[in-house]
Amino acid sequence: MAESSQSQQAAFDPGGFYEFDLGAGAVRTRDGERVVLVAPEVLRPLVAAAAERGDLTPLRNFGNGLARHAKSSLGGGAGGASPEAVLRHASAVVALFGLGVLDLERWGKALVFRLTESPELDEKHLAVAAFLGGFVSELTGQDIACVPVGDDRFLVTHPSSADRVWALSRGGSSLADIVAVLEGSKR
Amino acid sequence: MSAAQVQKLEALLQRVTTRRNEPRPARGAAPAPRSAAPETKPSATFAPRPASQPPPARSIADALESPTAQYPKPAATKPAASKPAASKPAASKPSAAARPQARPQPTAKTAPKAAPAAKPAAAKPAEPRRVARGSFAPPRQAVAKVTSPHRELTFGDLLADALSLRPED
Repeated sequence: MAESSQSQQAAFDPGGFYEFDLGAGAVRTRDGERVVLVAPEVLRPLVAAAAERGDLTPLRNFGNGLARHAKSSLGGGAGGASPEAVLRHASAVVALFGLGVLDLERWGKALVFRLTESPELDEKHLAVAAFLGGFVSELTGQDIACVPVGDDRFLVTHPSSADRVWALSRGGSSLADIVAVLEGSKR
Repeated sequence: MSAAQVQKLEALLQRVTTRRNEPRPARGAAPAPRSAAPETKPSATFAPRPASQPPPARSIADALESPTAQYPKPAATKPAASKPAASKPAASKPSAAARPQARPQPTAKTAPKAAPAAKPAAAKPAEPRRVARGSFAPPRQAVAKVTSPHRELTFGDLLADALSLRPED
């Protein structure tokens, strides 16, 4: 418990995260997981094709894998940690994989992840939504959906509400309106 | 004058004359001890006085049974009564610290004033006291407790709030 608290307070340590084995022609994370470094231009058509097909499971799994790094750095699940500690470790991992700058916002009771400086993989930002959904689900141990509600914002919601939120977002509702609808329906 | 009184007088005079005839001590010499004269010793000092023995004469006035000799007149006490008056100026001279003690005793006129002086003392409890702490507002500690519930929100708390927002179908 004390070790976990110390880990939460500590900053994420990126030192030695990657191991470059030039002889074997492999790059591994410090957990031994092999990764491939590719340019966004290579990824973009692949992700777009997967989104059109309607299966973004690999991206969700990719998010799960990154969350495990964050959990390991946190010293446990994110549920009992402070929001600041969770964000500190999560954003460090996301940045290490070159996916952009992760931030966390609270709009009323709603939680919103914001990912800026990220490579544009698909027009509707569904790939990042799948990635973040997998990331937060693994981080918290719950099924979570992250729905795009703007260029770089993703609303954290229950999977059963994701389609409704997505419809509102696609219909042109702003994030504030969507949150108002969610909170109003709760009353 | 009765015969008994005359007899007493005669006895007294006889004693006086015998004392006069005694040889006087040399000038400057110590006076003869009084204990040498058995008559001067108070009666019944060591033993009860026999009833038959008449009480020794103490003085001419005693022999005459004059009440004035035994009980001095009130006039004799006047000088003593005037002493405090003489000490009054002396008492007023000392330092200010001694002044309260030198204050004149309350006279018949001031005595009634002392009674009203007791009134404020009795009224003190009735005086409006300072408002007790917490009368109109809770003490600061309580305010602090109320205003800072203080459990730090965790990421899990925020997530639970977020997941509680579900749109109606």
